[in-house]
Amino acid sequence: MKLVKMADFAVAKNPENLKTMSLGSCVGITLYDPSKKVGGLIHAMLPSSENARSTNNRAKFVDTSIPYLVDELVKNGVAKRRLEAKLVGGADMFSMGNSGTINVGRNNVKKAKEVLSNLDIPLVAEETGGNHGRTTTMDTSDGAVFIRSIKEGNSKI
Amino acid sequence: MVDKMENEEILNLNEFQRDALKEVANIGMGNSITSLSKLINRQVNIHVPDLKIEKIEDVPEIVGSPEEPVVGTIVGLRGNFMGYIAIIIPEESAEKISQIVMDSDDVDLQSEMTLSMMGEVGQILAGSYSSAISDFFGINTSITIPYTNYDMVAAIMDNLLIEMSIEVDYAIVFDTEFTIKDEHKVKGSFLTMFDKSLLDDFLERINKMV
Repeated sequence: MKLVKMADFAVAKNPENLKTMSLGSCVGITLYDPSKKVGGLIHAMLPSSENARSTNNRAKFVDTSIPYLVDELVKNGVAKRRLEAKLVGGADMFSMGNSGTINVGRNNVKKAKEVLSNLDIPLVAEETGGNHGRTTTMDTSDGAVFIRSIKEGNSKI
Repeated sequence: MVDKMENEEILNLNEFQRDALKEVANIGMGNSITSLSKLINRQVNIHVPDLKIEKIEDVPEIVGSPEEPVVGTIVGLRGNFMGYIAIIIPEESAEKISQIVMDSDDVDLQSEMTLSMMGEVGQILAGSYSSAISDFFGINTSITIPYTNYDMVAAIMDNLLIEMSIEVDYAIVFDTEFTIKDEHKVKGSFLTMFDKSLLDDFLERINKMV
């Protein structure tokens, strides 16, 4: 099992799986090639690198992390046209009765969809939004994504 | 005068600067813990704050296992600077505190009433903290309304870390543990995170005092 930290990403080949813990407003993006059984997982914090002071860490932003992961997957023998994407996270952790915080979760998900669409990568499943945290594990044998939540139970997409 | 620090230079605080910053946090914490002690009518002990300077991305690791269920309250410090206080209370301890404050054995950490009460507790702690620091430096600070939720600790922290990461790469984190006397399982962490501008300002004021 490869663990992906916040603002980080990793690539793994079956039988090694990928996991990232406790996505709140952050978004988890998986890309998977079913024929090669190779996948990648990103734990991105912010939608866009456009107004960032420092863009050294490309895995931190949705807009730079996806092309970055695609490049890494291609280096691992994956054809871009075979990639399938799934999205997890992008919650609004403090939505209960309060307003005023930037809804960065929603913006992360929106940006991810936009970037995937521009790259012609199909989004095959998502579990996003709400106000709960999600731990995400990708099974590289079939690209299934398992989601653990302490409030909403477990699910699979 | 303190030189304007670049993000990387934050990592190179000298011993005097570290001690001074710890003292600032101590003053705030002392005041805050007195408030908590009055609220629950029990003696509360604190462990001396440890100052850590961490990349924003690495802050979740300070608070332990990312998936640990906690009640977390986030309060923003506002004024001429930006800072945050995160009060992180593990599930069992949060239940105990709720039982004491609400005077009931039947509490549900997911209920709006319990979370709202825990938010109030957080706001009292943060308010005491910020007013002690304001008095010490003779500056004006205010605090935002509390944001509270019950969930995995890293999921609760990430929104705040995202907001901070827009402005800064490193956070100054004081990780203070508090324990309630005679209630062995009750503990929590009090994390104060300052951005660079506040740190510059603090150090400048401290330098003027000595």
